[in-house]
Amino acid sequence: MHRKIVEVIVRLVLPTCCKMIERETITVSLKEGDTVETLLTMLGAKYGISWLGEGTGVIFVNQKKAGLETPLNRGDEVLLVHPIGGG
Amino acid sequence: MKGGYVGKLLFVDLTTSSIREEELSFDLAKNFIGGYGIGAKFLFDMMKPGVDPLGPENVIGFVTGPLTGSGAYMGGRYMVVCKSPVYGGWNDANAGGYFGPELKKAGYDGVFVTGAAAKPVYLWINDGNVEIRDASKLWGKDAKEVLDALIEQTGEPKLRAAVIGPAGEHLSLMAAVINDGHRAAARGGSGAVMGSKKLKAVVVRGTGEIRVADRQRLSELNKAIREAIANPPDNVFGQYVRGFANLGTGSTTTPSVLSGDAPVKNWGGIGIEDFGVERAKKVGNQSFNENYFVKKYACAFCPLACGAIYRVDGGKWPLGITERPEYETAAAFGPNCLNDDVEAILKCNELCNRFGLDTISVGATIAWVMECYEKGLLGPEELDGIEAVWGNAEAIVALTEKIANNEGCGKILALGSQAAAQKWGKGYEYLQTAMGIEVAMHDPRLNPGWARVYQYDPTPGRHVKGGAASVPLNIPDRGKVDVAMASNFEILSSAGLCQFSMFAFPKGAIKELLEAVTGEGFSEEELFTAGVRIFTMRHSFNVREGLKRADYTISPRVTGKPPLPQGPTAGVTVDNEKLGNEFYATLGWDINTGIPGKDTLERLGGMANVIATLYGG
Ligand code: SF4
Repeated sequence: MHRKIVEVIVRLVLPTCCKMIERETITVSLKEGDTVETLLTMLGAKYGISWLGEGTGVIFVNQKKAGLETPLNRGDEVLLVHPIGGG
Repeated sequence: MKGGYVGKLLFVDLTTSSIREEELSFDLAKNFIGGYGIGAKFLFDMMKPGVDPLGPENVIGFVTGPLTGSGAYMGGRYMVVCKSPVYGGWNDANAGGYFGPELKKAGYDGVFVTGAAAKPVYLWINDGNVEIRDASKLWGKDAKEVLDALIEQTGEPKLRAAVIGPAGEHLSLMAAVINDGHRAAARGGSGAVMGSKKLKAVVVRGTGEIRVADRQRLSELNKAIREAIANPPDNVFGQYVRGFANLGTGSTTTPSVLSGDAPVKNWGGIGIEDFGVERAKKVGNQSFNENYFVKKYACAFCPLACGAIYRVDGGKWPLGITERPEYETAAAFGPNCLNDDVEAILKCNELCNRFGLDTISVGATIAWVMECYEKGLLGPEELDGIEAVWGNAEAIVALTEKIANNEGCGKILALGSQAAAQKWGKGYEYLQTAMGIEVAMHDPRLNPGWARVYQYDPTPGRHVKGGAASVPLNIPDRGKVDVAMASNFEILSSAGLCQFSMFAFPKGAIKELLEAVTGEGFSEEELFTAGVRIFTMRHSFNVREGLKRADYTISPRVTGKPPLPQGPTAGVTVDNEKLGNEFYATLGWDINTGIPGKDTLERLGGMANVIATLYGG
């Protein structure tokens, strides 16, 4: 089945500038019907960030808590919050 | 032992002005390592149960570990131990900076002070010479000013001192012990215990050498640690190292608020909804570091350097030179009060450091006031006209000033939120405390293991007591994991290390450092047992005070009773009874009373006095 390309905006809330991702906000192209899990796998592989794939971070889509299975649509804003807890 | 320990402890009675030394025995060092361990052992042996924590019979100790000042990286800690005036049980707290290493160079592994002086005094320990000196002229000075005054009085510019500010003098139950002007052994009211003894400061200066059994091995280990810190792995531990090295503990404030780790609105709010992304970013170090940054600050022998010196010149609260607030401070005065005014947080941090106050308890007490204000339980009449509306930065600073100066409503609030609720006879339902002390700024509804640490550690409500805080609840052998982590924290702290060594050090480094420095072999098993022994000794102090498991209480909201309706931790209630049961059972303690079994104590070894006290004979 042919799936349309959709673009989602990903914002990372990290404890500090993550080594692999210079910019805090990135735009990612996904296929229609892709989920948060697809996005995480993609980012994990592309930037080599192990925590992204662990499912331990907190994920919001359009400011609502989301899970790995949440589908992503054009223009969605995904907020990935690092699982770290302060010092 | 061949190194690490000085081998001497100092005992001072301020009532009789008597001073004596005791040798630190090999067995004691091996069984209890240092810091919390040696502190708990001595306080258990020296004190009777039931004494007034603010009376002369309480003993306060300042105890280092074998790695303190040895040159081992991150080995700069000392620990303050006493009976807590907040909850009437065991209290300990630790601090970095430069006091611990200097105490050892001055000739002692630890100092224990009992009795009470008739007028203000300080203890002057100068290369093995010990004097009790008049501190009348120092009384009333803040924790920074007093250092200059001490230098002038002693003529010794290189001294280090553990001091109290005016809060300790006023017997505020939130009073901290402060060294180097801003490093705090903050929690549990140790500052009030010093104040009750009229002990303004323990002042040290030494030129002695701290022996190291195998210097070559120590420098190899240090090199490996430095390399591990310079090239952190790309996992969560590595993120901590990178984040703390760049921006300090507050590098995590923004993600903590959004993930649900940082409590919001006195634990009743939801970070992403009630505070929001932009405000969460505003209070995170990443956003304001460059505005105020002057230079980095590191404790003794620390290549990580998570601290920083700031300068605030303009704005509503110009401070000049100050320090970067820690995560706990930013969370307590920030999102927990719905406050995003960074300069107000910096101001409160400075006030707490100078007056000698625990930032967690002060911030949490103000959050409690704000909720009581919102609910109409407290108003401007009780609060000297202060409008304690959520997020009102001026009100937060004004309340902190009242507490610091012990005036008006600050006299009541300086005793902490629980005592204030009792005094005013209201607001109990909004307290966020464990056994009466304000809980630290990590939410068990996100990482349930915090609930076990907050409720069942012998020092309740702390964020520095390890435990399997972030390990999932439903793993097999959860109790074992929790005990292993608790033991680990006892060992690294008692050894004199900063707790951030936990994720900054290569695996096995703590054991190897101990061996290189002391020249003594420690098996993994021995160290694990020593950690459990220390934990059990701290707990046994509470058992002897009559504290049963049922006395270890925690406010319901902290464990999700009722759960939050929305947000990342929606619906979560932590089954802390179960966590406690598994933890106690793994330790071999009675799960109903919390009393350690006799056979458990016998197996641990080194607990003869505890066995005699709890079981007779
Ligand atoms: S990591 Fe931070 S708190 Fe720990 S020793 Fe280093 S500077 Fe001090």
